Amino acid sequence: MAVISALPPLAMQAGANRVVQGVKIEHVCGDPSLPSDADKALRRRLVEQALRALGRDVEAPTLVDIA
Amino acid sequence: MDLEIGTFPVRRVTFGAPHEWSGGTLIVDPTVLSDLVLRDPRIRRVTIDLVAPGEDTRIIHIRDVIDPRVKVSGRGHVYPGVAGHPPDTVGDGVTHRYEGFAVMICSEVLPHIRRTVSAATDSIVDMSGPGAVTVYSTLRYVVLTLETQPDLELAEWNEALRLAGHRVADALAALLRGLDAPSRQRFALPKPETALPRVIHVHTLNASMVPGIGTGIYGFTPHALPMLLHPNEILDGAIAGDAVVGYPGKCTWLHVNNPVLPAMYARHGHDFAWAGCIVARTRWGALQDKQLSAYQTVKLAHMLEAQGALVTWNHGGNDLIEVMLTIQGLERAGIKTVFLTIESDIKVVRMTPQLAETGVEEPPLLFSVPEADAIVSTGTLAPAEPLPAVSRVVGGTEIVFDQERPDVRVPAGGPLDLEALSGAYSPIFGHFDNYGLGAQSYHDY
Repeated sequence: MAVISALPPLAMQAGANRVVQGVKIEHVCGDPSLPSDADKALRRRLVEQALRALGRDVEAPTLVDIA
Repeated sequence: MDLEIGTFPVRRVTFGAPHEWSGGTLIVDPTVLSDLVLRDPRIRRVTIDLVAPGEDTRIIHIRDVIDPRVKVSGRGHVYPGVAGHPPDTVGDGVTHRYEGFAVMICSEVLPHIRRTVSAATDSIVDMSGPGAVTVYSTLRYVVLTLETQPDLELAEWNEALRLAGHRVADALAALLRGLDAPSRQRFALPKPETALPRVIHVHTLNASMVPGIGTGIYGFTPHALPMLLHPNEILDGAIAGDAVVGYPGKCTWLHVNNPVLPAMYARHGHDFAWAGCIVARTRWGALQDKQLSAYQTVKLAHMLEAQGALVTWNHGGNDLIEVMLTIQGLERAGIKTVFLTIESDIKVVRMTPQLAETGVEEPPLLFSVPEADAIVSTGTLAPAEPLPAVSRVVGGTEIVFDQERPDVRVPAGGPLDLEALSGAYSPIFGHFDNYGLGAQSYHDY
């Protein structure tokens, strides 16, 4: 499992295995203040990060940092 | 800063004319107060009621509670920066106040605002019975039930309600201007004669995620980096509530009556040297902003040479992240912390002796850090019994308990099983008692 979370410390304390840093609480996976193309690119990047995180072996709740 | 507060006890409130405080009796003229409120065309109708502790009365749709205060000498106006008051720095001179009396604003939330601000919940204050567990069941009130223009936008609605409340509070506080106070107390933080540990109050305060509303500092409501307040400023109303986010028990009255402040003054110069209050806003939307706020709070405490910190908060939910990050940072900087908090989050859960003992079904604190190892509990959200029917309801007629189901309206005067009825939030006003004013603890130490 991978979670995109605005608040990774909270997700990790709750026991999420792989956590990807989202944008903010109001809009975790995207940013409506960006032009729609940039927002779309950001959303795609976050989802791809989460998908790549799924391929990572972890022992404990981990913030997966994949640029 | 040096502030003298003169206190005028109120043991009885009656209607009459003209307004007067004399020997513990406050006479209020409802016609004068109505005229004052209706000067604002945004207010269509006002009903004025008197409510006292012990009555078989339930107050609903509470939007704010205001402690009438007036500056008799010294700079500025109490409750600076709100309701047309200037933003001059307060905290010096002489302030007069009533004791045991407040102005309460009630108004049912407008439907379009209910839809956009989930925290604009309906709330209740029972003046007797099992629901009378908060400090708000112990005060005498002039209650203004206000009907506004129906199309007011959020910020305008907030302003209109709050202006009405402060106009009435200012008019009643003005009666105390020329009178000799039956009791006076001086508030100052003189440099202690002996070396004592320096202690800071880290006063974290929720800022609303919705612009233009929420608890304000000199009326300033947005998220902002931490700032230093002298506690005298707070006693003069530098922190004021709004008329929207009453949940989970935030109001203007609370901040000037926060029991943390007199408790800290009482020990200043004896047990520690109080270095003031760092106000840090909570409920930032991004983790990086939460971290920045926590780190800057720690930096300020360090620059103030604090060795200890009392950390308080006034909200629930994700605000706890930056509060806990602050505690962690303070401890790592060698500043010992004590965290004062209610023991659970905001949902109503009925208390049983077994639950009190084990806490197994109690919603835990949302987030914690290992450094938070000194926590003082102010109790839980746990009405012992369903609330019985009452003979009088003030403030409206029906309540919406679950903001997700606004069409489910419950007659306010009937029996209320809060555990069954309520949605995300406890509807008992002030129930989220983070400063320990109420009678919600299961066992007092």
